[in-house]
Amino acid sequence: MRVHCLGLNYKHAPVEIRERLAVGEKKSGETSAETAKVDEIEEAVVLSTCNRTEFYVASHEGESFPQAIENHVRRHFQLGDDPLPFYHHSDAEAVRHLFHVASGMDSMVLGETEIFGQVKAAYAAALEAGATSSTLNQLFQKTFNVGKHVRTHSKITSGPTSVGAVAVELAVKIFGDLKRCKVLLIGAGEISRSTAKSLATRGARGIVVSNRSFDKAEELAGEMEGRAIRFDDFQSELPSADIVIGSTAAPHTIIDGSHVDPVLRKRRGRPLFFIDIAVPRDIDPGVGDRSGVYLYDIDGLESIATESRKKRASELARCERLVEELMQKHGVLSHRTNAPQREGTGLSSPEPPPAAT
Amino acid sequence: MDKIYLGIATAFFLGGFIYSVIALKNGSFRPSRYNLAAMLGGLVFQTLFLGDRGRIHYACPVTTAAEMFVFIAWAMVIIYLVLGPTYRLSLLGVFTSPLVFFFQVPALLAGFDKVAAEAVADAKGPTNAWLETHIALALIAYGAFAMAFVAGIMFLVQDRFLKKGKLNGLFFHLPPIQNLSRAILLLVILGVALLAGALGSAYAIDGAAGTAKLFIMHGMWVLYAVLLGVRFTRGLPSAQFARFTILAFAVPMVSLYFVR
Repeated sequence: MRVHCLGLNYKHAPVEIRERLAVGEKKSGETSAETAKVDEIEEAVVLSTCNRTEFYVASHEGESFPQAIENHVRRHFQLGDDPLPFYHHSDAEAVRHLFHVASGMDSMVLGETEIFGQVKAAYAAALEAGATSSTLNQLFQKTFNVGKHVRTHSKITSGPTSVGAVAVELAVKIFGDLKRCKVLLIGAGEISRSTAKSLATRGARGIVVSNRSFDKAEELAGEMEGRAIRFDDFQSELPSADIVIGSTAAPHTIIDGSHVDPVLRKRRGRPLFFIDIAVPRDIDPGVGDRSGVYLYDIDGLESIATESRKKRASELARCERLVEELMQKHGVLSHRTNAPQREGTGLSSPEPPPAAT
Repeated sequence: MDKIYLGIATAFFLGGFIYSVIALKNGSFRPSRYNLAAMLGGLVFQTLFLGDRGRIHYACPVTTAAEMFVFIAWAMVIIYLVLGPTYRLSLLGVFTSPLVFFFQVPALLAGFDKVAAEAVADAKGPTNAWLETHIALALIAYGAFAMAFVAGIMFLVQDRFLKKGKLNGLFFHLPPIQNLSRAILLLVILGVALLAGALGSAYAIDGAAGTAKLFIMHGMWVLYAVLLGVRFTRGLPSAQFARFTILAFAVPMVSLYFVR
């Protein structure tokens, strides 16, 4: 049995193209089952995320087969003859590609972990729809082992890669459990909104929004099940806030030592985390020199995210080595070749391949 | 046999520490696995050692400086095993094991004369329960202060990472700063309470009152109690509390020379 992969992803296909091939979570199993019914296709799994749509199929067919899958995909999504940046991989290359995808090595944000769950969900849907059998069942089980192995034995997932993720990571390293943390938003900009949302997903409660436009404060507070206050009242909320996010358009700092010192005395050693994403800055940099105060501005947060992204990129070679080792271990031929591909996948077949004519 | 037990225990702590450092460097450190196993293994052999020495002395095995060091190290490991999981301080073991190792190496090098110890035990007569209680409580208090010292170092390391925005491998493995702050506070409270018990039991021992040993222990108790008082009443910042806890540990260390 041979394994083929046909797909397109964010690297070559812009969102206008990707959205034409998007398969919703609920339709995933059904689409896999429909693909598996196509002549000469024995098994199929459709993986569709915001960054890629890929068809993994098992078949006895060989060289001309990728074109046959592409024809099916074009028919299914009514794509006509539009030139589309499809890629296709067969046999060991297809297996290698799936291993890379599941390990986060092919993701836009290198090492992101969400893709692993998406691959699992796509396979589970196909399995439930009866679109898989021995070959893809084995392949996906091995894929999950490889995905876990690569993440465990490399640093590809290490470090936060976005401003929101950095803020959450720092907050967790300061407070531990965020469930008891109160977040005060001063200003309702887009980054502060997404940062507060990231904190809320990790358990932060009691979000208070203060903004010059009270309507906007109320709107954001409503979105986060928080409370809106008048802009002039934010100082009275400082003593009880654990995380303060500043993102106003004020031309000068709005928080300095004179605001923070009395607050620190009231907090009795409990740390205070300031996230200043405003330009010009909202919080006087001198505030960060105080014991128990951790202050990060937008450059500080961005540089941590950039550093993490670089670190992840530097891990790619190690991850590739790990995948090659596992391909050898799992009996998948590992030498890289483009076409024609004659090597098998190393996966057992439930029935013998047809005799050559 | 006691020296073999101590040697094996020391090897466990050293092994656990070396493994953790290598794993941290390679980025493959997994909390609560090998390091915890090494700490547990070390504890078993420490206990066997202390049991052996206790049988020789017919008393709490703290008759020499070497034994006192092992006893404190034993108390530290037990406190780590109780406190670590509660506060998710998996890396505390990595920081604890070198200190435990350095406590046990001098003891290992000093050696233990079984015949002499038996002769001393025979000459000493029956054991005094108050004396045993006093010594045991005092040394476990020293163990608590030692662990506060270790947690204080971890706090300052993590505080520096957070202040400088340097998120390296160790940063991700170190516990949250607030957990460390709570752990230091708890350890100092534990140490002060145990030392109070040790001082109280000392007054039940004939001839103990007014000795230089007891004077030093009182001084140490007052020092840590004042530290706690300032923390609670004046809201001493956590970083300063950690710094004072590290500095204050010099007092129990020096006092060991006088009270042994």
